Amino acid sequence: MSKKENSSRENHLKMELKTRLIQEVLMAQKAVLLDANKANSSANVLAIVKRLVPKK
Amino acid sequence: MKLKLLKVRDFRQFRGEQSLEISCPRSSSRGVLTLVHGEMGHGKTTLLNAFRWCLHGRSGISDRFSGPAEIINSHVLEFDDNARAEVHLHFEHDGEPIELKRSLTKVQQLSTRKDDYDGHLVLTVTSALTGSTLIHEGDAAQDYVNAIMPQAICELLFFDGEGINKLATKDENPKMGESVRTLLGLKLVESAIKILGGNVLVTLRKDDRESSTGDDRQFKDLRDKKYAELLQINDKKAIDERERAALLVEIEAYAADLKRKAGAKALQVVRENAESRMAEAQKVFLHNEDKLKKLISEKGYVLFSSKLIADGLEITSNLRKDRKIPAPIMTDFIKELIVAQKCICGGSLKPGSLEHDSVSSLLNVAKDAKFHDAAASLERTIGSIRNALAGTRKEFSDLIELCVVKRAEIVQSRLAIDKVAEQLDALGDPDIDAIERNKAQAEEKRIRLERILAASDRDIYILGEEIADLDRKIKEAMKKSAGNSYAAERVALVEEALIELKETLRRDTDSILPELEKMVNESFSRMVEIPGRVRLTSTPSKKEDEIHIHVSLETQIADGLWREDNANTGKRQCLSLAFISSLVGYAKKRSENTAGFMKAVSGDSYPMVMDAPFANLDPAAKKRFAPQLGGLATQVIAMLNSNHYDEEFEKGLETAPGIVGQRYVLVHHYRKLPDHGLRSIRIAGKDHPIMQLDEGLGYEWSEIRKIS
Repeated sequence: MSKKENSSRENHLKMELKTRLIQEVLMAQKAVLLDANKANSSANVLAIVKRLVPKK
Repeated sequence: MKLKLLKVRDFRQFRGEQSLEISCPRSSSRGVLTLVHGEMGHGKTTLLNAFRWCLHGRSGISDRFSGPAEIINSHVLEFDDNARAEVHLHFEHDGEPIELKRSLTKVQQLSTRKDDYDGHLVLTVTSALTGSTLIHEGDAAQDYVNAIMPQAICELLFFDGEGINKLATKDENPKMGESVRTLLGLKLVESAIKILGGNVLVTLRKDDRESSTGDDRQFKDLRDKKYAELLQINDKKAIDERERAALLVEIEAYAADLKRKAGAKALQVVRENAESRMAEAQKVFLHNEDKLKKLISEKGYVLFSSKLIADGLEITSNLRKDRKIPAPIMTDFIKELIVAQKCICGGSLKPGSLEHDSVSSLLNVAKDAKFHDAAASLERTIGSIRNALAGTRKEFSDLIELCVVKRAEIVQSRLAIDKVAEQLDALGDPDIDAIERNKAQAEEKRIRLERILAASDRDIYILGEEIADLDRKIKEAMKKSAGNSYAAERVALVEEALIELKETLRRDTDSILPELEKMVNESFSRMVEIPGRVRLTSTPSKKEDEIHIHVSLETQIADGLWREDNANTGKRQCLSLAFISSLVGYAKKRSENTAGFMKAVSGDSYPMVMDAPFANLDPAAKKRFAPQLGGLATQVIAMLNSNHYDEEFEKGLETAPGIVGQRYVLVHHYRKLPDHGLRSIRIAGKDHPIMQLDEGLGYEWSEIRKIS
């Protein structure tokens, strides 16, 4: 794979990851609004980020 | 939200348990409409408020509902110590069945504490996936309801038609703006921005710094510093952009105002010209008047001496005729002749001779030398006066003529000014200079802001480049130190997500009004045949999370020139309905058509519950409006009395076959039937009683009776 192709793929993955993060955060926020136990939303969102970008 | 069932128990005049099944269409537009027919006092408004009370307690009750604290049926309250009112609302949200129950005991109703007088709320939600049920109570249940149907939206969608016209006024703006943002999912985006940009980012940055070793740490510190600067500039830029947007609206408003007042401006120019002409004429007039006064004081006698001259001339002429003014004769010469007794003709002048007497008589005539001098002087004076008269007279008449001309000019200008003043009075004689001054000031401010924004853009670009460079350096340093880059990646991911969310919020906020305005116009023109256009304008706000919306109707007064219509109540009701239905439609459209992550959060399907919505529409408008009812929302519950519903209305409904789902009448049970009022109403060709005599009962009550 050429350097250019590699960079384009990397950008595409980044975009996908970003969209997934936003989608999941929005859904989590929506769920938090309906959550009777009022779960810690920061912790929820942090967990999403950590899941999407795991430790290497 | 899809409504299914409303069940009331001892709620106001609804004694015992009664229910209203709500038409729940499977396919679009078929059976969308649930109609409840009832006369005044039979419980239409009570039913509307049963929905609102169930969802939001006492604060949810409409303003026009009398005795909002008296929820429990009065007869039950009086005779039963365990009296309680209940309202159950069954609906579906996001595919999950939800049952909501609010109950209120006698003790709670009498309490002054909100926690008590709002009663007890229980919400049961059944999972669409597992079928398991989850029960929320009290505040938790209320939070759940607020998330699905915030009170501001509830007030928009569950409305009292008599008062709905108030929506199309400036007073309701903040509420409408808030509802729009919630309905369209923008509030959710805001909360996501808040949480990502707050604790989450702070924690991730801390992790990142702690996981760093060696060279990358200093790059990261620098990068964080640069990023903080970038955020600061971005925030400032956002404020400046909002201010610029506000200024543009202000400038546009000034320009529109000037355009509207162009007629007045032209008249004001005419007035100014006339005033300056009058001032000039007045100046010339006064100058000439002064000259005239001076002329009169100095030479006026000349003008008034014509008779004197004539008299003088007559006197001298008579004197000459009478030979009393001979040729100048020296008295001494005559005396010498008499003394010498010798005339110049050689004759003797002896005393007693005829010649002597004759020459002596000449002495009588010429004896007074002063008389001669006076006569000569009179003649000279008369001569000089005659000479002066011609010049003075011309000067005088020239001045008089000039004064007359100027006076005419003054009068003419005054008339023109008065006429223009009258026309300007009719137009309110606006202070156009002030508007022009304000516009110029706003323009100046805008230009200043443009410069500041350009500088911000430049700084943002430079910082962006610096950050990208530092990112590269961090990556390289981390590679070298074989460290983990995941922490930095997490930070970068959240930062990019934040930028995208903020951009989406800004873009959506900008696009909402024009798109919604188009829909409101379409909806309004379907409802009524009123020439004009609906305008949605937002009042600029420096607070990012606010849009103030003003709904107004404009009529065209000239090519390209529109003026806000002083719409009557009926028009404003239609306007408000068009706005609400468009908002509901827009939310639904967004949830169906929006691409990307907004799809999941953009709006939903909402029902509409309206009490007596057509009171101020004429019969033709009602007939035209009837088939449109089904298109207002995915579910519509309309409560109608005989003023709203008649054969024409039914004919209107028939033009949209299938839109009516279930029908109900509200039957009022009396201990003694009243002397007046309708006993029955004719619905779709069939008579239905709406009053019933229950002599044995000690109370009156209303019944919800299903008729189809």
